[in-house]
Amino acid sequence: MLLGVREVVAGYGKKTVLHRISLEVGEEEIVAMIGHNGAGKTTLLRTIFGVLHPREGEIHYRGARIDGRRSALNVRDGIAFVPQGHGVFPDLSVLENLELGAHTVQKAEVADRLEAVYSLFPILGERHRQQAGTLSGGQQQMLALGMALVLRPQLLLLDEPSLGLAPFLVQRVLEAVVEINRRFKTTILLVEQNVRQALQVARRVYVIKVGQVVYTGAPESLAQMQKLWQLF
Amino acid sequence: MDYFIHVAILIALYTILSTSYNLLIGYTGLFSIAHAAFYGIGAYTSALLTLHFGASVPLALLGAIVVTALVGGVIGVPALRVRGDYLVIASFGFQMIVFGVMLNWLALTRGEGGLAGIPRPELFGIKIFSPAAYLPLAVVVAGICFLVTWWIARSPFGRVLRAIREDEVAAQSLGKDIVYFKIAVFALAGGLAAVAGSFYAHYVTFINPLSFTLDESIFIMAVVLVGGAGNLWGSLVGTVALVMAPEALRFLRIPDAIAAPFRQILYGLLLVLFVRFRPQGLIGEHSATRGTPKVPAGGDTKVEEGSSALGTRLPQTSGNGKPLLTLRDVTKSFGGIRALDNLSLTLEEGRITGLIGPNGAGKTTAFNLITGFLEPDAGSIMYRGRELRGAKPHEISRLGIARSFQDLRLFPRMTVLDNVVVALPGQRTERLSLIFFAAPHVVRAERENLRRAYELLAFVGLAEKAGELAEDLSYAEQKLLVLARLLATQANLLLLDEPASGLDPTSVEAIMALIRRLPDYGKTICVIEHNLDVIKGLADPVVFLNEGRTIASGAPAQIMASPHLADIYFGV
Amino acid sequence: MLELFAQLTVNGLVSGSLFALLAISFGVILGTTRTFHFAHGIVYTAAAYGAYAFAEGLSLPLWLGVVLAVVIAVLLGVGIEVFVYQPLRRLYASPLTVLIASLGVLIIVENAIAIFFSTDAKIISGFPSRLIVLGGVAFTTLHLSTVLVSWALFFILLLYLYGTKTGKAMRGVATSPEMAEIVGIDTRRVFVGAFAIGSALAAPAAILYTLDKGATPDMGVTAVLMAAIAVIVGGVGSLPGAALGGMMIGLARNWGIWLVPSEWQSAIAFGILLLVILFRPTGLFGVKLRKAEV
Repeated sequence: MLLGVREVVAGYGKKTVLHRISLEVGEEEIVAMIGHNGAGKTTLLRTIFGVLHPREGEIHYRGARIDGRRSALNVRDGIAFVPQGHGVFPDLSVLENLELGAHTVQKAEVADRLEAVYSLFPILGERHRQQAGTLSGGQQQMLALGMALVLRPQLLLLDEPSLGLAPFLVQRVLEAVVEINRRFKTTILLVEQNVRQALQVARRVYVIKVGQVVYTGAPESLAQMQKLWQLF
Repeated sequence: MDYFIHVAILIALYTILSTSYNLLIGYTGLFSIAHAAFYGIGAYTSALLTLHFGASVPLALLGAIVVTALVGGVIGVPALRVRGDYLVIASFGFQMIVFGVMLNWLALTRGEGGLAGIPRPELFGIKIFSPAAYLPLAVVVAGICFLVTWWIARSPFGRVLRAIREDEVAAQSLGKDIVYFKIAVFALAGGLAAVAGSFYAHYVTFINPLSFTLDESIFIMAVVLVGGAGNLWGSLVGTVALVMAPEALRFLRIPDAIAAPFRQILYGLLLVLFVRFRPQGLIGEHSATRGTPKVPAGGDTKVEEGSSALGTRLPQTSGNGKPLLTLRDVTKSFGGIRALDNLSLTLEEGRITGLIGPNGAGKTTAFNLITGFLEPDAGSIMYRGRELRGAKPHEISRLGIARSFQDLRLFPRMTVLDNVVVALPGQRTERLSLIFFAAPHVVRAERENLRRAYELLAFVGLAEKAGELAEDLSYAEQKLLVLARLLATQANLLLLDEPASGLDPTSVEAIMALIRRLPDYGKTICVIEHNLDVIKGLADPVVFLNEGRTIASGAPAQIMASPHLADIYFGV
Repeated sequence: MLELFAQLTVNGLVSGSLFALLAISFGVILGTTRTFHFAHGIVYTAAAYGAYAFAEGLSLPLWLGVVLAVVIAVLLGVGIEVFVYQPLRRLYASPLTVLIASLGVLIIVENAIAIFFSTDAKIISGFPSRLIVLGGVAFTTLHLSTVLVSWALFFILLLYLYGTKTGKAMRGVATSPEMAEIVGIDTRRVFVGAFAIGSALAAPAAILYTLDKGATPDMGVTAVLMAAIAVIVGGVGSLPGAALGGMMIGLARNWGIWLVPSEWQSAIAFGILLLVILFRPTGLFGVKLRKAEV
């Protein structure tokens, strides 16, 4: 087990979003979290990453407790987070974005890492001087993935990478996710609103509702739509 | 002895300045640092009217009030466009300009030399000369100003000011005309500062620009913040403390040459230390009110059957099938992205309509268009045969449409009761003129409003918490308060944006039970909710939006049986 | 007539360059940290008095006085960030609360300087200023230096922000603090860096001004007001916008001598601000330049 979330309670101010939620992610797995808006999926990712601290419960990563510590430390320990929407610096160029993504990486290694990103997403290499904000939605999403990849993370937290993308791009982005998992042995915890697509790429699925896990299992077990209407 | 009388007179003077400034910064949250400029304009106007036009002191005082109030109103205009930091800069600039003009417009102000020989006031034919004779006058004038300010602050008008401070958008959505209130409060604060200015000019009989500097503005700010913003008694305490403190320094035998800068350092230190260690000031806004709900006289907090604050309970329950609101072919784009694409939607009277659809389907955008916070690019929005396009949010609110916000937008630092009272419609008593010229009417209306507010709080089960601050409620209670505030608007059409989100399962049940009762009182409801349990338990019909269009509507079971809609909802 | 216009334009360019330098020094702090740092005015004043104390009081060479003044400015600016603003941010204080504290610091230090140095104008001599007359327009070598130094510092700042790792991190924090945190940038350190840079830039502006007009304890208040106006006029977040805003204020104030009675002189910059607030709240260059710059 790479990541373990145990009985975590977390929220913003007065609002409690996660009510004793627990889940596990094994090494090199792709795990998807699905559920209705506001169920707490994003909050859980932010809590694992450390930009939000749990009020109760524990988070374990590589056998050590990481709850309550600063996100910068998690970045150095190989956890990368791609937030919802535009996970890029819109005013900076593609190259500068990738360089900032590699902010914590040794200088000597940066060039190699950039090459690896370019080989996965050639379009980023072609457009490295373009301002990130002027890229198309799909390209921005690839850049956001690229910025996480330069860290060579062991655990990648992805928040709705397909949000707002046209259907053929959704496919492309999720293919890239699978490719990252395969090529770099990266463990991936994915939040996805596009349930069908998530079911296709994930090995296991958690359904979250009102801050709790209401269902967990293999994706095939959720193929029946009636079941989804009930769980959401 | 004269010295102590002088200090007492100064305290009276600064009480006027600090309480009027408190109206701006403490009550309305308008951060202006130009109060010394208003004070100076009042002083110069009054002095010039007596010196050049031979006006009597009372007449000059009146002139000063009018002129300064007008200037204040004009300064209020940029405050409508900008908030926070920019207003500080704009008022800072205004302060510098007024000072520059006083200093350099020699023909009028005689510059640094100032105006001398300003006449003393005459009362009943007796000229008032000595400080001892001046003191009673000072106390009376300051007392009147304090009473005026106090009455304004606790009136419905003052309540709206605080609502604007807490959340401008929410205040607007409750039908408050922000423009009127902001300009009025600037004019008011200016007018009151002019009283102090005029008073000062005729008391010391000599004025020059150095009395109305930025430092003076900062001093007044320090008085209010140290005393406690949003509490007039705080300003009184702050005035006494800060006027006396440097007088006490005299006994430290600090050389005269550095006494003035030494005082400034003291004020600066107080500002820095107070915002850090006691941001609420010596007497905080809610130090007196917290935990003491004012139960209205003879107040019966049960919800009456039949006619009540909720509206008339209808004999026949829900759904007569008449359309209340109709959107036809409404389109709205944001920078090339069509959020709504020829959306058509009908809300039938007395029913609970649920809006569902994937992210970005345009649900919240539809609410924003109906309530006038956004304007459609094309299409029509008809409400009871009236076109809503182009109407302002507060106008639409007055027609009987109210919405809740995903992020609640309560007035956190107001009491639960005030959160509800401020939302009651048709409070003509919020007009400044009425507050003064129809005081008994205001008191009566206020009593009735408190009774209605209690009734609504009882309906949602919060009557016990009426005296607490909204920010101190639990999240579930805050959600109930949102509902009570919404009901207080007396709107017929309620747009609920995720009323159950962020709640634990028990609270979800409780709020659903309340919402289900509303059509009995003639309410029509449209609800956005992602938790499908809530939709299933509340709504009929359900309208399914996708990519800014209505693609299906019907009973929940019907919608959730369609494989096609499932494909859209759960992705292909 | 034409000569007068040319002279006023040159004067405007000189004082505009100084405003531009001041504006970018204020703008780099505001843009990166979103702190309305009114006390920047007192950092500016302190630098001027520092240079005066070392160059005149201790009779050190002017260049050494300048270096020490920069050190004083950086220490004061960073000190205010670390000891006043950071504790307030940890308490989730509103931006206006931070601003009040800033005003408090401003008057504390201003009056301390007034007590220590008295309020009469302090002159720093030692700059070999000579008059140059070119086609009927007169200016001094000091004026020329003012323009050159201001613009040189502006370009050095841009080089830093675009060419170095820490500069890029600063731009990252400026455009999106959330993203900066996600990629592991220590935003607190970047904030301190922005205060150090902004304060360091305020020192030469203060000294150039003092060499020309002398220093008074209240010089910083006007200076920070002009800087803030220039930044808002240019568009918050755009350094070239801030520089252009500064130039506009310099030119407008000098051309204004022609058109506006002297008692309204101080109103000119404010008038520009008012027009911008009413008609273009994002700032003149905000939209166009915002994307490209800090």
